[in-house]
Amino acid sequence: MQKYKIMNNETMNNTVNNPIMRVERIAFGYGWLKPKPVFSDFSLALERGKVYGLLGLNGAGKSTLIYLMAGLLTPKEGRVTVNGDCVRDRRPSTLADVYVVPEELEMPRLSLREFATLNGALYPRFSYDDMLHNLEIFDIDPGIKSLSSLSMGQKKKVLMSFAFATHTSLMLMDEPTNGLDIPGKSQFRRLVASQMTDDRTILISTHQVRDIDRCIDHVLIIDHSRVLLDQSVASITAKLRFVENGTAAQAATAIFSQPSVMGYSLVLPAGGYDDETQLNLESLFNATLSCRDRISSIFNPENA
Amino acid sequence: MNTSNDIFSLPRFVAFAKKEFTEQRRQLLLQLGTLLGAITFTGLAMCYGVYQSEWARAATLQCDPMAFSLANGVLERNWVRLWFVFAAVLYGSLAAWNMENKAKRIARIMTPASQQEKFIFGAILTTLIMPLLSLLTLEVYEIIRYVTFSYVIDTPCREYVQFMNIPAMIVNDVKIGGFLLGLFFFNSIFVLGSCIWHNKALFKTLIAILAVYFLLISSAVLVGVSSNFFIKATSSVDFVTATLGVINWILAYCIFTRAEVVGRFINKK
Repeated sequence: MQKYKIMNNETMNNTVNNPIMRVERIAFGYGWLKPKPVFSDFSLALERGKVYGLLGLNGAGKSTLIYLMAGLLTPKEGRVTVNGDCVRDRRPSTLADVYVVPEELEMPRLSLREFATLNGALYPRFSYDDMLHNLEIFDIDPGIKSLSSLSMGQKKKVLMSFAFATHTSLMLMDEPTNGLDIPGKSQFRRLVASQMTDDRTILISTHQVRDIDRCIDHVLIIDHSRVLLDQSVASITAKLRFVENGTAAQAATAIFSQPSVMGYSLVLPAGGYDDETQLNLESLFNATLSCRDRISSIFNPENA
Repeated sequence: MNTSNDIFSLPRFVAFAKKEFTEQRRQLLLQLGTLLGAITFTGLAMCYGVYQSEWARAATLQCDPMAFSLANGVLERNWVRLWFVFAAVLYGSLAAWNMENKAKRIARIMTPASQQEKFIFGAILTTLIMPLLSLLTLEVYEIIRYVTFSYVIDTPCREYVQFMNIPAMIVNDVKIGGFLLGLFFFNSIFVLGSCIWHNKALFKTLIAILAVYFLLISSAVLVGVSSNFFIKATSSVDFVTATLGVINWILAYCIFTRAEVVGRFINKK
């Protein structure tokens, strides 16, 4: 028996036009004899030309979902497709159209030029010039002699520069800003913004919500088998107001409130205001987890 | 790069092989160097001992003691055989190489090449290319042995030291068929082991072999299998070896194509 009213996955997926990826009623768990379930009857669809922010608590299954989406894990039931092809078949044509930027990575002991030449040969749309442009955004010297000697943050910058230059239709990024220095985080946002096209979809899974709240245009919040929120940023800011320095009186009527140094951090219904506020992912995430019924009823009134 | 062929594309296979070789060339060279060091050290030590003890027979037969017919043939030939078994085992355990941690598994699985291309590359590398390179290390070892005992280290057999033609020694072996079949079998076991265990495959496979061996022996003792059974099994050993080798390869392929980022290697596709 489900404790909370949640958004209906199937209803949501049917509204996605021409999705690049479909996760269809998958079940998955870790372990052999007594599998610990992570997903059951879980569905999701990703639309073309959007930057998704994937949020969830620790252990909610974000990385597992990315692995399932990339065909790195096999669902026990259901299937995951990219452009209609099952990702688990690991066809070269599918692999050449999906790039995974993992949280932890290793780079070979090669120069950047060698790495790009050897790996780029396997991606039909790879552009060396685009990679150089991406490296310029990160302020990285392309004359790297050995990639393995770079720091974790530098490796990530190099890999992301390469990844975007492959021009794959789908980019799955697991905690991409972990290990990046302070300028690196804004450089990452610039890179994402500069590389977005109508044909490309990017999914960014992260806990560092402030690193991505200016570059995503769709929010996905999951909690194991449930999609708690699957809404565009435009829809969220049209229906909710985010206030950083709210008063105690406002907090009393807020959907979600949390004391902050400037007063109260609030999530309020947008009704009655003409202007829209900037999305605050942290407040939205906390509000979605602690007030599931209210958030659900705002975005999905037919389920209220 | 044409990705329309999802089973096998030669240009893509070449691009994949080039990438894998280049990325791992230092590791491969280091392995070959280590092998050469190991065989040179143990080979020279063994040779020194033989030259000290067998000088009288060498003088009688007027030939290098390493070419003596010992219990099962020429000592150097047995040494080479043993070396090849070791190389087959070692490189078999590297068939699913470069997948020992999560980051490497992600990179390997997500590389845009077909499962068949990745497996064939591993198979060719570990059963053909690396053993052939090992043969080269044997040749280098033989040169070092010849030079060392002819010109550097003085032993009672110095005047009988001869340079041996290792490829000819292998090819002219009357039991070459059985030997190659044995290599194929041992190699296949470790190829299978490397597909099951991506990390420390060599040691884990050795432990598994010992466990299976003792399980079979103890089962045979408990059930009371007659000695005739073993005699019959030995008489058809070539057939059994070949069949088991093929089964190991098929199993290795099935497990390899089901490899996942988290160590769950048996999954329905």
